[in-house]
Amino acid sequence: MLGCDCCCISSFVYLVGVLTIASKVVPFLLKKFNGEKPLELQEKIFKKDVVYLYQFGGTPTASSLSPFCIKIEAFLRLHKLKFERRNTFSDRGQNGQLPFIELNGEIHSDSQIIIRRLTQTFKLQAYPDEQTAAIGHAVDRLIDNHTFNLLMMSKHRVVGEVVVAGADGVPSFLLPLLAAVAGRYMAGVMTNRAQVSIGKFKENEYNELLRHMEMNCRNDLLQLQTILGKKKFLLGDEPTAVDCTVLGQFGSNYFAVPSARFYLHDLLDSSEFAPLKEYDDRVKTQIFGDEFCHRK
Amino acid sequence: MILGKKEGKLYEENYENDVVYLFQFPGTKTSPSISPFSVKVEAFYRLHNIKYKKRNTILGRGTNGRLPFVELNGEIISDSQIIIRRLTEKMQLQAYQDAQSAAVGHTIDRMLDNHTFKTVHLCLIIHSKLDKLGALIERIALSNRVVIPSASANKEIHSRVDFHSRLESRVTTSIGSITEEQYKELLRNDVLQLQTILGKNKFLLGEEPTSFDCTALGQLGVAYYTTPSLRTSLHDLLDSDECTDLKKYVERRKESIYGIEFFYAHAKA
Repeated sequence: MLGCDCCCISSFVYLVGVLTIASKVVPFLLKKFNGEKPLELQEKIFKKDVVYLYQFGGTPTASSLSPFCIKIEAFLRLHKLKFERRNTFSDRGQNGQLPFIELNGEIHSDSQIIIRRLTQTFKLQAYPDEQTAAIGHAVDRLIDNHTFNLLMMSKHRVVGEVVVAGADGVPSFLLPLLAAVAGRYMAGVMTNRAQVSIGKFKENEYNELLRHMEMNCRNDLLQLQTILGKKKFLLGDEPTAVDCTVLGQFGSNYFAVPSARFYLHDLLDSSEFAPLKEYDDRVKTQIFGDEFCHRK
Repeated sequence: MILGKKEGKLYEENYENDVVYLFQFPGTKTSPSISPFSVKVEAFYRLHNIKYKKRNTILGRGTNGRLPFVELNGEIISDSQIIIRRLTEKMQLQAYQDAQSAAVGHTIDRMLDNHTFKTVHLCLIIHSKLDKLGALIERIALSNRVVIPSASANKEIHSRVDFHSRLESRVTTSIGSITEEQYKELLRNDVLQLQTILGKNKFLLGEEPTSFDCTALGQLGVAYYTTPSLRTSLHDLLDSDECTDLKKYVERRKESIYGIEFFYAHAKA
């Protein structure tokens, strides 16, 4: 402590810091604690047949930090539907999660249900035939309900960096604090979510669990690569809905924050998974062009 | 064999070599276990003629805090997916015809265990009245000859065992809190897609049974047969004209893998 001036300034700095964090966190907490209110439309004046996509923001290398948000945007682009992005931190759909969409005055939540509603409303052909649709559905559920959880468990050590990458408008001197605090919190949420599905191994079994999960994760990717085979996309020469799901998971985990490397990067960068990695790049370029990045 | 033991210690102290001891939730008069993962694992042993013995337990748990788990030659293996993979390696079983069908089978397996399972349970547990859960527990108890005096005692058990909220949080954490109608929609979609994959085949992947048929028997069989009087949307689906093929397939699986022993036989197999 050098003197009075420095004390005042550092207190002031901390105050600014706390207020900045509070301005993001408090509305979110308030919404959580105020309980169930029927959701109001966010878009008071909406254009007909335009999808308003409420999602987590992205990074310079990914359109969102959330795999389910990327999936929905990819699906909208794939079927050339008109949409507008609304990046948000504290808004939530009726299921308490993001993404959700507003379309013609109706709110739809849960990415699986959103895709079904869009397919019905715009009479889209999601897959060329029934058999392919069935397989596409099974792959979609594998990735979103199984691989996703395995990736979450593996990723929690680097989640601090991921939070920082997505932190929009937070002053840079606060970032280490944010990484530590929010990173800790998110890691807990992610681990809990995965454990609920996979099971909770004891502390001393943790490395065993990690090994098993990494084995299962690698197995999922191997199976995915086998299904891909020599094709351009998972189910044929044209991308389908399930390619959007895959882009979601790989986009958020592999492309979003290249410095937050974890097990998935080691796998995809190895020669064993070269075909799968090429396929990821192909899907990204075909569906997003060079727009796979954060946009206001 | 109702209470649990300290972790790390083997339950089966005097074990026979190369016999798998399957620790699982008990069943009811109409199903070998109330857990689809236990039925999956048991069906797998029967399919491959692996020697096994059943040990019913309610509070026992494997190293991942779940049931089923197995003990084999003094080693504890937890998590049904890992159990099946380990046994396939150890016994050098020829699991699948080719890599492509194995891959498709794997996706079906994961869909059933990680998604369909949750939509089925949500329909049963959360959106039905609590009485149904009580009736389920009562039925299990009766099948195991444990006396539960009255309905109010059921509620005691609920709160102590805490099934309801734990199950609910398990499902909503993974899928999210969508409405009952939406769960039913997702369940129906899963079931119809499965039926499409089955097509005119005898088994999910063709003319030969695979472990994925065991998974399907576990998820659909347990949900359908365990407590037939507690009808859920899965019952309505399987009994409808839309799903005749799938229902026949589940019945065929049950008959050929278990025969009469699907109906609850006492603890030791």
